[in-house]
Amino acid sequence: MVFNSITFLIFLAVVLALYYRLSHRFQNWMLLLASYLFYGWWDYRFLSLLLFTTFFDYFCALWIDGETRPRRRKLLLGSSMAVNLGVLCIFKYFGFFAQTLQTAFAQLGIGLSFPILHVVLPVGISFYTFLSMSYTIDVYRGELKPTRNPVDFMLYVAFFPHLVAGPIVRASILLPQCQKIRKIIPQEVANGIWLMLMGYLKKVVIADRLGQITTWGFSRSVPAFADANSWLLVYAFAFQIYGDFAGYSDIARGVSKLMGFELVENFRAPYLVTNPAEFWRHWHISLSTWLRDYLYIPLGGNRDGRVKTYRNLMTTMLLGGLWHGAGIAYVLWGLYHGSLLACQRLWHDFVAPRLRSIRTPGTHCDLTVAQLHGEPVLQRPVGALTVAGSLEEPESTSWSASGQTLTPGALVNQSTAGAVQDPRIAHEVVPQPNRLSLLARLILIVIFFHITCLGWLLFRAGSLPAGVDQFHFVLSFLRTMIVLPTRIDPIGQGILVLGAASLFFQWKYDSMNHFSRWRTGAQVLAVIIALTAILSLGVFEGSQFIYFQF
Amino acid sequence: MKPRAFIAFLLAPLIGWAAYALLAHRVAIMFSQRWGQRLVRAGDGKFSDAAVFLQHRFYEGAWLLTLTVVLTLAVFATGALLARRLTPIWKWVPFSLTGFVGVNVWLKFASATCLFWCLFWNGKGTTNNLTQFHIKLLLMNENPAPMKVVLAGSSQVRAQIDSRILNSYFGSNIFTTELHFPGNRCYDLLLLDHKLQGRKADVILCYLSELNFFDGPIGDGSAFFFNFRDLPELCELGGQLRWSRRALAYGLLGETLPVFWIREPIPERFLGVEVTGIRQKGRDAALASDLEQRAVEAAAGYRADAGSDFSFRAFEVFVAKCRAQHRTVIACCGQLNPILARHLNPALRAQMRAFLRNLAAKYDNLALLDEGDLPIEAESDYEDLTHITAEARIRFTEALEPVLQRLMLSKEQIRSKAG
Repeated sequence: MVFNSITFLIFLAVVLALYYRLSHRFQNWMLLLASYLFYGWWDYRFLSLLLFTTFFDYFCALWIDGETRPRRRKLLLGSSMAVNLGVLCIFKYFGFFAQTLQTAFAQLGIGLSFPILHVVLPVGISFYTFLSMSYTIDVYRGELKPTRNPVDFMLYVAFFPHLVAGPIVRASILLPQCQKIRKIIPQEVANGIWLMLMGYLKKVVIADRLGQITTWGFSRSVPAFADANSWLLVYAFAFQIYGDFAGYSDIARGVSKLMGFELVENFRAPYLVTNPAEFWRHWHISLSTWLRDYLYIPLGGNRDGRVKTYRNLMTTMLLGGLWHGAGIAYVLWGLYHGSLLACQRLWHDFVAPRLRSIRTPGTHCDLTVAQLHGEPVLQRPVGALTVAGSLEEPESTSWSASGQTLTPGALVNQSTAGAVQDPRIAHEVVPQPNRLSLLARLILIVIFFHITCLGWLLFRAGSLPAGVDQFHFVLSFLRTMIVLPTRIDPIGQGILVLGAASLFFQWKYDSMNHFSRWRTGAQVLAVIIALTAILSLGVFEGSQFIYFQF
Repeated sequence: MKPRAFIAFLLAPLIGWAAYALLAHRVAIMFSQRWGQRLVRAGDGKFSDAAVFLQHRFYEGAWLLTLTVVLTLAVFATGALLARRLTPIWKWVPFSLTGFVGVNVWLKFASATCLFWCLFWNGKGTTNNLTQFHIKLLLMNENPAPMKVVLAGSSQVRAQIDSRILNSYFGSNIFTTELHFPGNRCYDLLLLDHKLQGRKADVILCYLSELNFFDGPIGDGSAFFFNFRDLPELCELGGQLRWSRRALAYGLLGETLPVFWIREPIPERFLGVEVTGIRQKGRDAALASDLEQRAVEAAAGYRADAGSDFSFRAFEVFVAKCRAQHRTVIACCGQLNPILARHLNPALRAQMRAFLRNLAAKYDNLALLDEGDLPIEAESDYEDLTHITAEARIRFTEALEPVLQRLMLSKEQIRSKAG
């Protein structure tokens, strides 16, 4: 069942009607059944896989919690990891690795053939596996008490709004909401309705309209344009993927709010950022924080010197790329972003301090240098600690500081959905060494947007039709992008309008979350425009969400 | 809203009507003197008098202004009434709902004006089918010719017959307009008949080929023209909803929410023709370049089954309805590209011809132009499997002129005698 279908709207209406009439205990049962129905609608056979993962981690967490011997605890955690990643590997990566090895051996003249499983990728497997894994890890770390109620845990994993395409909500945030009696707050319901409308707008108007352009532009072995008009297609894909995924997240959050749940914000303004670290604080926040807390920091983070920091960054991003899809293009996309983060780090490690000391000696110098040396200069009060979604934050304290005043898990525990993601708090507390002028920031935004777009080209190559040489395609595409065009292709008009709409949502992301605070006139106008735009500009072909394949 | 602005808003329709009464005629004449010829050229034969055309648009402008003001007031009044007992947090709900209903009501009324559709006019060849259809339909009413001919059917009728050539041939006595919709089947002609009700359309000229009867029972037009009133008739004809569930559902949803009904012209205006036409571009690109191969693929879809029986019944009902409204139907027993025809079962064509002959014998308002009455097109006359080239079109239309004149005169004579 997809969010942009009539079936889902009927399903939601029935679920809500029942939900508001039931007591908390039965609400959870009903939501659980509804969630399994939601998932089983796609393919009921894979419900067994979901149930297996859920129950395995449920019992593992209980055993880990009851076990005091460190080795046993480690063993139990290891088995949970092995089972979760094993399932993911079998269904998602087995074919990819088998074929890669086969090709590698064939190039060495060794003819090896691995059995290749022809199994459909269970929808949302990457999302619920990560969700479930984070639970056992948090229990192992002692940051979370395991729940004894299987229904609560099953609901946490299978909660239908976030089951198939995230956001990846940590157990510390969602599980307590499953356990306690939920309050239906009118303001939040209003916000939820607006989030849903906005989500549909992003999906059926922005993403699906642009999807028609990208499908046409990328579904051939040669680039559609012979000149820099090729950029138009990449822009279209950049806005499409934002609309598609942010739209899904908004609908998921909106639906949850209608039932008194609060999911984390997954997107802010990813195309209005100036650098890679900022990008990952704004793009797929729930995944980037997951990777940071469960991969980057356990690998050593930035505590073991510069070289290891770069290595950790590259490894994390490589695996992040692989999470998106079993294909070399996704791996390269991950590496591309890893190297961008590493370059940013290099800049902050070597170039920026020199530039700053030349330009403004003494201005914020102590702070910057101290930060760069990894000293815990800023002992911020707990309440002000707001490292939300960054994988790498050269300017902030907790990551650069070797003092480790708080563990990453503790960050998550202290964070509520709203507080964690409010970037303004960070600006209030952390002095900015050099505030950019508006013009400089605009220029950097444009430059970094194009850098991100090049990454999206790699990403899109991952889903090219079978038989199209991905590398050749990307290279020929890049070649066209530097040829000066004689005129801008007319499809630019549509991309411009839809891109502007997408940027508007990003620019106003904060107020978009607080619909209930708007003036009535603005609310009415926004709802009428949204409904009209969805129905008249939308594409109603029942298209899938891009992130379902992950 | 400030009191002065509110009063101006209330007075806007009055000012609009006063301006229409005092200035419309003069301004229309002035405009037509300067840009009349250019306007008529842009109209591409849909109207011949620019001043009359402009005057009608001014009238529609005043009417749309009045509609806007009245609906805005109604929306606010209803919204306020419904919001009376609600807490401030929910006040947006009734206002949004009534506002949305207001938008739809406005569109429903506005779509009956040519001015509204002119807003979506993108130029010849690049304007959406729905927009073109409505502009032609509404302008047909404004033409003063005593006899009106409608070319109806799929895109084949448009490819075969040039209404401009017929108009120049028949002069001001007969006005021909073409109201095709791509992919129309026989059932879609029935839906068109509903659109023509209450309008002057004396003759309906159809170009029919195997495409209309055997290549599926319901065409793309249903997604825009099917409505709730058509449901009983569809069931009576033995139509099955599964044939084109999406098209029929879209038709019904479009009737309920006009904002959905105009889902093609609006994106075209805002996003550009290139974006909205990109799927078709993709489909065209995916077609086999070899016509022979394309013909083999297309021929597989042509079959005599429950769908074709439904089409035959639908066409008969269409003819019967036309007779009830004193309309003459001229059916050209047309053809497809011989490349495609070669791959079709010959029994299909025989069945179609036999059906049309029987029907012509049964209904006196149906005139059949059989194979022998029409020029035969060769493979070289076709652009693709169904559409002929511009040169072939001119040849076909010119060959049709005397036949049509003879037919229409004889029908008129029969009618006057009967009268």
